[in-house]
Amino acid sequence: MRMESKEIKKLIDRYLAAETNLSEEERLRAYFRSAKVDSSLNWAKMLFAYSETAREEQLDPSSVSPSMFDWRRVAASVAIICVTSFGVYRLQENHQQKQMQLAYQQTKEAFNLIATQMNKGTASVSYLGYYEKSVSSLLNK
Amino acid sequence: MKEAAYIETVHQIEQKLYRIAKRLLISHEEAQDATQEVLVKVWQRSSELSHVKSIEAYAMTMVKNYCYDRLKSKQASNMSIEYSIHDKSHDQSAAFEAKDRLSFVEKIVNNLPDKQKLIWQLRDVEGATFEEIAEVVQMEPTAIRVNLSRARKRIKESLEQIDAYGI
Repeated sequence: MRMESKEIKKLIDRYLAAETNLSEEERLRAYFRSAKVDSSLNWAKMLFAYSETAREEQLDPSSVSPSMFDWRRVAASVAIICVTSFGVYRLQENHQQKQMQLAYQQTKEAFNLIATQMNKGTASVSYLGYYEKSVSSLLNK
Repeated sequence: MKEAAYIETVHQIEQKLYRIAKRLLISHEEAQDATQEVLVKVWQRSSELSHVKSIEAYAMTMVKNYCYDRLKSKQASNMSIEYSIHDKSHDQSAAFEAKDRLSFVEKIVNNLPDKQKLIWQLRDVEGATFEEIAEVVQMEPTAIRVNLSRARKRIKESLEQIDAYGI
């Protein structure tokens, strides 16, 4: 352990002087990736950790062309339009149905009214029948 | 099969170009533009460049030139005085802006002078050999080592300072 850290310190010095080769730098990278390091080497741990994340940095393929004609945006807007228009349609349909039911009820009431009035009418008209009968019987005598 | 391998190579070169452009130009959008523009130019000359290695070196040189031109015209129009400040107090104030330790290292690296920044990126991030770096930056190997050493030492000092203050 002691030997190793001594060797690492030597490597670090050569790293700072830009004298290390690529495989030595890879060794340093591996060392700082795994080991718990001496606090005097905290900077190196941070630096190597950063260079590794920087290596992973990618040009996001989904943002390569931020053009107006993005298919996902188009699809999303179409979906929103469909859902809202369907909703509005359903709401209207519902409203229409309610109105129809109301109209039906009103018509039914109206018919009922007509029916009762008519019954009253026919009842009073039936007296006329008696009247005519009695009149004609008197006249025919 | 051959085609798939070709696409993969192109993809890797594209990512590399983007990382280099982002290091120099900082802005994601500008780095994206730089990558696209350089790739188009590389296409136009790809028949002349038979070897994959030479395509990569050519593309990296192109992106470097593109970014340097952009930086020059920015400095000429005074748009980014900010990036030309390379003093240590700037690194310290950056410490307070950084979200975490890694993004703090990023700020320190981005505050390096352009030449050091590019060489550091090519070596410590892309793992390029000194010969490859020499081809891209058009400098003598000794001069490259001097710049790389300065960049590494400068990052170390800034990080040690911040470590002493604690973030």
